[in-house]
Amino acid sequence: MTPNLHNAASQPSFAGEHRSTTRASAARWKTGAGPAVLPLPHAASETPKVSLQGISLSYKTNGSRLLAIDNIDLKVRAGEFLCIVGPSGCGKSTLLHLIAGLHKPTSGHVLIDDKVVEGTGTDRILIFQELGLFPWLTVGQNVEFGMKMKGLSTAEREEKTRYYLRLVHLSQFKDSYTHQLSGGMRQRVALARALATEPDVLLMDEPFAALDAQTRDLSCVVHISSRSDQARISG
Amino acid sequence: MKRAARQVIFYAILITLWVLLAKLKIWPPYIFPTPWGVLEALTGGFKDRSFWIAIAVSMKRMLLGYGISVALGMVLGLGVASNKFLEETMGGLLVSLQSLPSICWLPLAVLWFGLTEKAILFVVVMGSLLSVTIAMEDGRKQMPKIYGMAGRNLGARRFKLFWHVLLPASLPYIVTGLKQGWAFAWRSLISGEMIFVSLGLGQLLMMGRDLSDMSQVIAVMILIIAIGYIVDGLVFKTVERRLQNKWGLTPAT
Repeated sequence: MTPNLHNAASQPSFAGEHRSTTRASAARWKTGAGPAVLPLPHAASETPKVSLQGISLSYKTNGSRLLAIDNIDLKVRAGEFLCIVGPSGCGKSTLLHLIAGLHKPTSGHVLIDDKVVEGTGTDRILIFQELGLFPWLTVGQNVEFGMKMKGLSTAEREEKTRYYLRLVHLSQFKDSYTHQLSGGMRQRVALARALATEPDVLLMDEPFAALDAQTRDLSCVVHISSRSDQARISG
Repeated sequence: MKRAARQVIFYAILITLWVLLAKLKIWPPYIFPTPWGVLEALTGGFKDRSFWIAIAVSMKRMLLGYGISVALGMVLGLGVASNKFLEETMGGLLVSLQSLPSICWLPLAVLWFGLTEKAILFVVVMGSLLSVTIAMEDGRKQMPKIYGMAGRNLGARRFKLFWHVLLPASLPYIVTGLKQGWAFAWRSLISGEMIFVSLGLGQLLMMGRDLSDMSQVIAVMILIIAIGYIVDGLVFKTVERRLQNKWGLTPAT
């Protein structure tokens, strides 16, 4: 049987904005049709934080092969904020999962600091579209989880948990369970959990879907944008 | 309240029927005992401590055998659920073995271990291991995939991933299976204890038969039912409800 290769949907396209300290307020989003890596100011000399080389992913459905992602190259440097846009089903989430190391690409490589990575790593934290908060843990324990896996001391974990919960305005819900919170609050827990792990690359899948307008403008976003050495990719 | 009243009426009718049948003296009392005879056997058994000793001995075996089953079943079930090769090969075997009543292992156990404690434990383990294993496997499969992904994403690997994520995430799904495993283990234990002078509840039952003391047989049966009900209705139901509340599977009241 010969594999039947065909494109599932149009590929995701990329719109990027470089936030340097001098241009932090300039929010200009460019959208384009088809994959495109945007020109970036003063980036030529730096090595990219994240780079994808010829990433493709296909899988079998009902006997035929479905090509979900077709040969994508991109580079994101530290301090950049890359936004992937496209219609639903075009592979935005899948691409983020690939960068996070949750799936293996059919071909191509994911490189962090010019080194090929395989599997997951706390240098790349993904905020899932469906959040994936742990219902058996309290809000505080959820935020603490990544730090615990990294082997941070209890004192350090407590201090950072407090800090990040305050950042997302959820200090008084530290001991609540996630099913007791509203959708927007849960999303903020997921945000705090990802930030608390202090990754070099923050991957966000529909990160602000359930946040209200006020929160979007507030500290979380300010914080996300404040670390100049972090690369952020959102889909 | 109405429900409780109905239950009281139901049991009252049942006991009245029993009294009537016993009063009619169709069968001799050593074949068909009277309710007060059974009550006497119950109080007598507790008074001369033979029931307490039997309960303690049986419970000790139960905890040991069930403990082994849960530990082994966890490893087996998770292995089968997370390995395609094991699933395709051992998965089918496990399901087919489950149709084998646990007492069928008894001749084998007696030949291997003799009339010893080990033979009973073996029957208990074989009786509950399969249902625990299958429950674990199902639980692991039913568990939403997102938890495993989120765990890996946050740096949990191998044992840490299993202990901190996969196990707690599948707990609400496997607790039902653990409960079933307990019920199977309990049944296997009583049948296993019947084979020799083992001091347990099963042996008390056989002793009643040997002495043609039907009152004692019925009294021990009531005891076995009561213990099974207490463990199932109180221990497991409470654990189940607590888990569901904590996990947010039922609306918190």
